[in-house]
Amino acid sequence: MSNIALGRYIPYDSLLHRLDPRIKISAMFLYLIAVFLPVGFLGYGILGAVLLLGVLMSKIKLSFILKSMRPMLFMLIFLLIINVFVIKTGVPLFSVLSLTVYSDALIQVFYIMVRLLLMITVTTILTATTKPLDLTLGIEDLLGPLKRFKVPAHEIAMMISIALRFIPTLIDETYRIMKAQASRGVDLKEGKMREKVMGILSLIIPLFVSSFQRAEDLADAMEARGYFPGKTRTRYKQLKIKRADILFLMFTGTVLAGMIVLVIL
Amino acid sequence: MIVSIKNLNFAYDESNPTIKDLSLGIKKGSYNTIIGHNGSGKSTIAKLLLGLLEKQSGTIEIDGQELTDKTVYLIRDKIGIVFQNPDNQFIGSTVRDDIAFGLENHQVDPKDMDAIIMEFAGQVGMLDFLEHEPTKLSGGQKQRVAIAGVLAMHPDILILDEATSMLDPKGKKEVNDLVRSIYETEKTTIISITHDIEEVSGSDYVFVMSQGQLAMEGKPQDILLRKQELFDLSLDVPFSVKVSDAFKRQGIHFTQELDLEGMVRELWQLNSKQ
Amino acid sequence: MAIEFKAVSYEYSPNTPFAYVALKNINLSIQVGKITAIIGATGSGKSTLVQHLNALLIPTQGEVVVLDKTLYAHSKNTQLKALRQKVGLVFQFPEAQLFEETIEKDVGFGPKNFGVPPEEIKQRVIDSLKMVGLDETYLDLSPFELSGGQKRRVAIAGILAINPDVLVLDEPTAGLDPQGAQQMMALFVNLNRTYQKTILIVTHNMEQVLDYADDVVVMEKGEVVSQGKARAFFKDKELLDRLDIVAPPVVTLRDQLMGNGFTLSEDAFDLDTIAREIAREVGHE
Repeated sequence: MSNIALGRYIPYDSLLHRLDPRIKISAMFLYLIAVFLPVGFLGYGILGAVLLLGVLMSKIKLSFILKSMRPMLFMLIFLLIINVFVIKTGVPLFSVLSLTVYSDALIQVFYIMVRLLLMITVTTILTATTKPLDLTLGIEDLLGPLKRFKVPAHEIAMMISIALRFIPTLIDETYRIMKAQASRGVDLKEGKMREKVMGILSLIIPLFVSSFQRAEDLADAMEARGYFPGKTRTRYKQLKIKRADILFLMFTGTVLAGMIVLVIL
Repeated sequence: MIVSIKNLNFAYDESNPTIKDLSLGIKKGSYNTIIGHNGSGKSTIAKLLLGLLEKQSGTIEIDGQELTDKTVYLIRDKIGIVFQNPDNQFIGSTVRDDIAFGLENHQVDPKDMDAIIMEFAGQVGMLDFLEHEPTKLSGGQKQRVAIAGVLAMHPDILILDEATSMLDPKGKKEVNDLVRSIYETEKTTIISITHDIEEVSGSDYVFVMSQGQLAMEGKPQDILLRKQELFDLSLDVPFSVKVSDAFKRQGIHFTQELDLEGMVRELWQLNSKQ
Repeated sequence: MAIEFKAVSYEYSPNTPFAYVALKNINLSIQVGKITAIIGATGSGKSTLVQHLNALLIPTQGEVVVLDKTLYAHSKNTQLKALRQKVGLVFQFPEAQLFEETIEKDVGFGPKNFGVPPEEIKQRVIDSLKMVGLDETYLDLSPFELSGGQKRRVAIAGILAINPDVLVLDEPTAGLDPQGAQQMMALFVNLNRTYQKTILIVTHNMEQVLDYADDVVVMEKGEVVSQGKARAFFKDKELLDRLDIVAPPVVTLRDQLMGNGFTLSEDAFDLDTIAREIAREVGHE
């Protein structure tokens, strides 16, 4: 589990860490819109440079972000093959066996890869610089206006934060049950197919049972402490927009506007 | 009587009722223990008092107010409870956030929360752990955080539902000492559901549950000497009673059966007379 | 035939920022055929230690000898399943591992995985249920219908049905009521005396150590700080104090009596013996 870079909070103290989560989420969306505009080589060059600036501001090592890219290598090869077969426009570049590779195919693959790269990097920056709870609060506030349309923004946020709180507990539990069943002869590596299926069942059923028990206990504990869905509550963590937040959002907005201009020209 | 239960009935399963026509009263400011073998219905009482389970018949009154659908939220404000499993009642992602959870529910002004959190984290000795996540705390520490969260609501009654049964001896002692000091300093009514016979010895009043009914009730010094009855209910007796029993079999009778040091003194006197 | 730890260390998540050394240079010899208690504060490495006994964990340094199998660090250890058949490990709150529709199937799950022939499985299931005090009427019930204490018995029967020579139990009586706990301990003593099983129990309960264990292993911060006979351990006041262990009340009573001028024999560690010896001393009978 310790190797997963994507979605993990890295506790540094940086300019980006201190920004308001709502601002960071909004800025991410503005940036993503820009990424999906057909901005050409120049545009992607600028967007990449902007993102690199973001990485520097967050104090997060570039190698950490690159680590989360590794699984994409396979996808790159896959995309390359498909596109080479399908796209037959542009300048014919070279032939392998009887297959001619056209320039548009390579350009297409390049664009898709750059977009994915930028998308993953920007989300990694967001999750690495924002505590899960702050992220939840940010989502709750941004969903706030939707409360008028009966979207239960607070309950959604509560669900997310409880899920985040229980992930480590459930991982521990999974390991414990896996070991307990291994002691009863479950062999997920070498057993026959039928045995493997039973082995997985012997893991999933106890996990379900214990999760339901936990959910029930937790519901009792929450109710006993005065929680009731839909009841008005105050909030301990108060989010406050500072000047840096406004400047940051304005900067991202400018980048998006720049990209739009680039597309129109 | 701060708690008054009359003719209470409850069943998870109709054919096998969990609580049968139970009546009992608890005095304000007293330290009460409820004992009984597993499955005797003692934990169900706690959930019924908080309205987490719905009774089938009978009445529950807390501080003169009857528990109904309308009063249940008012009554929950008067009662704090700490459950058995320390993991399944930790709601926040840090100690600080967990204590804040109850305050948020009671619509405390966020500006006041920091001071309240500091006060109660301090009272339970968890000030140095405010930013810790639950996975980094011991069972005893988690239960102390749960107590801080409850105390911040200023409850009149504190219920401990086997709150120490999953803890190691160190955690057990931490929590027991803390509850004892809350009882002494805050005059909070304590209802502790427990298997710990030594905790029973130190309480003001003990209720013994069996098959959903009250089998015995009274002061611990009276109840704990009824060895055969306790044994028949699958319950333990205090160590001093076991000692006195062993000596009785040798023909030595003590005048006091609950005071171990007194017993050793009596033996010493016997020895010096010889 | 032996159980031995030779210079064993174990590190969780090595080479990561979360690396944590749970066992440090453990040298330990556990007597086959005895009941050994493993004690120590939470986080002292007890659970990590016992998980080496059936190769759920492989040492990162040193070697572990379990019966006729040796587990080495830095080498591929094979045929672990054979070892798991000989060493049954009952985790804390083992009722969490129940999953089958009937008790018969759940208790038979282990034997089936280890290739016990179907006609033999049923007999083993019945025998192991009997050992934990449950009769044949339970066979067709769902394990989820039982009370907490019964669930635990079924889970333990599920390990007994594998018929291991060594039974390792991590806090088997946690959360049980006093009589349930006592019955559980009586079961382990019976398995040891009648069936010659080697028993290891991880526990926080000092009375259990004194009343049931032959030997005791004390762990502190990933190291073994004491090993030897259980009774000798409780006589070592300095060690008990240093480890912050509260001696069982019988030991305290012994000390109080001896402090008041009574003499007690070395074996007087249960109330009846103590009472008999004192009665003789004060001239009763």
